[in-house]
Amino acid sequence: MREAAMLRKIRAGDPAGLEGLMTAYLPYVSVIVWNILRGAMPPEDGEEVVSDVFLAAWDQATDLRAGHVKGWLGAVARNKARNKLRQAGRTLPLEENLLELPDSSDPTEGLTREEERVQVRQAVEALPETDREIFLRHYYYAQTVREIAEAMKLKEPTVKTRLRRGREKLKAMLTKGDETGEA
Amino acid sequence: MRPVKRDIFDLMDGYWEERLDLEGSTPFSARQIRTRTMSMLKGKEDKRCAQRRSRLLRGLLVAAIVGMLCCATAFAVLNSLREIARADMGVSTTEPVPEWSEYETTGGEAGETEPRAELTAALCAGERVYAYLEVAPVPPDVAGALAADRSVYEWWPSRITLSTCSSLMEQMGYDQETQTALVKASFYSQELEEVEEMGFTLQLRHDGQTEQTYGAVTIPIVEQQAVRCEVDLPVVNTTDDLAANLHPEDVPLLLDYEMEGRITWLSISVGQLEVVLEAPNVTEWLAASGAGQIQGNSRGLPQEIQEGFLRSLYLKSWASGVDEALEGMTLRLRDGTAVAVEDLPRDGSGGWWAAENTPVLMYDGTQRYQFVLSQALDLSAIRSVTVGGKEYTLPAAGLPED
Repeated sequence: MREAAMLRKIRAGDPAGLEGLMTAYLPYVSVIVWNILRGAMPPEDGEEVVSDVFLAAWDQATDLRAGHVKGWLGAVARNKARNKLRQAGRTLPLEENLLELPDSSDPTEGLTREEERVQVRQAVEALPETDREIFLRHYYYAQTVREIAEAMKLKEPTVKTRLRRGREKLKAMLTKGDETGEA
Repeated sequence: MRPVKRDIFDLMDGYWEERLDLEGSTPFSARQIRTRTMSMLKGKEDKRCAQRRSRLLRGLLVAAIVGMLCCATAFAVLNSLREIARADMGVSTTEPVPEWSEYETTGGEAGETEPRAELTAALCAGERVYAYLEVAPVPPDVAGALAADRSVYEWWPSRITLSTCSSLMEQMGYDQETQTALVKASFYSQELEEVEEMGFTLQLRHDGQTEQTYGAVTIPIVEQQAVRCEVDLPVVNTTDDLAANLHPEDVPLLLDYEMEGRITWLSISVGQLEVVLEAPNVTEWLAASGAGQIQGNSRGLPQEIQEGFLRSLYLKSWASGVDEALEGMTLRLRDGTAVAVEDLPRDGSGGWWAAENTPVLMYDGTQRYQFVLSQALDLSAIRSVTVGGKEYTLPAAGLPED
């Protein structure tokens, strides 16, 4: 079933549309949720989160656009899994995940949120293709360094080096400093 | 310019990603997810009509409150919002519990345009704090959307000063004349027992994006009182307790076993009851139960995942015994009346749950189980606790020992 047909069915209240979405994207959403929750809670709790992602798609079908359902489900899966993790008082064990940046909550200082979003996208898009994939696998999809190394057939130190480059690029962009972002 | 630390994972929220093919296995059961999803979907559709009626009633209630408040002065309006907070937390107007604090606020005038979020009251309950904020201006249509459904608009705490915590934001009331909302912010973190204050910045989000920042809020954390007494209650963990948490095909792998633990301490504070269970550790339990043969949904996955699965089974196998041991627990009050713990107002999860914040001790055999309340418990009113056929007289309430 094509995405447009699935969305039409969901908007018409036909559960077959949601079943179609699950057939297409259940593995994708499951991996995102699992990457974030890992062993922080029993698998059954993760299954609930995955289920909630698809139920959100049913509830918010008017927001979904054919051809962009995967991105929407991915974003919702990240958000729901992260909230679940925070409810359990846990945090994601990512590589040096904190960047020191100007305070963007004060509009007189630093970037506005919208500017920040644009700058994040520009920084990530500006990375070489391999670096970008590594950066997204880790900081968007929460894959571990080892998983990334195995999936991309790279050595773990190489993955770490490229993650560092990505962090530097992002920080440079968001602080409006050195545009090259090189260390 | 003051720097702040930002999480890169959070910064990536604004990134739209749909190009990567993400591979990998998980311990999730696709069949279970599909079954649950379609079952929940059916339930949602069945409830849709009921929800419509409920929303209508809620709208009428809000309209009635707004109508009442519109006739009052701004001072009265804000007092009314504070009364909503007191009622929500079950706090007496005349003799509030010591952990409840109220704060003067500056706003309340019609026509306010400068965004503000001010703390009006808070209950500090150990690892939890419940803060009530006056927030203005909040347009009526947004307030209505927040009261009916949080899927489009939501209150969001950003820049929380605790390194790890969970939070819940709820809109509890609204005054249309001054466009002031009463927002309840609930936080849970072990760090709350160590800090003198916590802070966050309140935002209104629309479809996941920040629409308005209402400002920074600081919540002073006051110490909570607690009463604690030794108890002695046996807790039994048997093959049947474990089997109840397994798929039928795994049950034959179990050994026939019976282990005993003891509940040794009971403590009561403004926001929860807690007991300590001393039990055989996870290694002893694995040897006695044969549970190490069970892989469940973690079959074929790395060892660390299988270990996590077995540890979750260990906790689950003790939980039903704890429930049985504490069944019928009653608080006897100084006025001569009694109340069953089961009847106390409790948070959404309800019941006795293993506290997750001492993982090493948990698996070594010292487990804590908590019954978290949704309203403040006045310790000065409790004389004794009866459980397992014994009455335990409580000492006078005081600050907890380190």
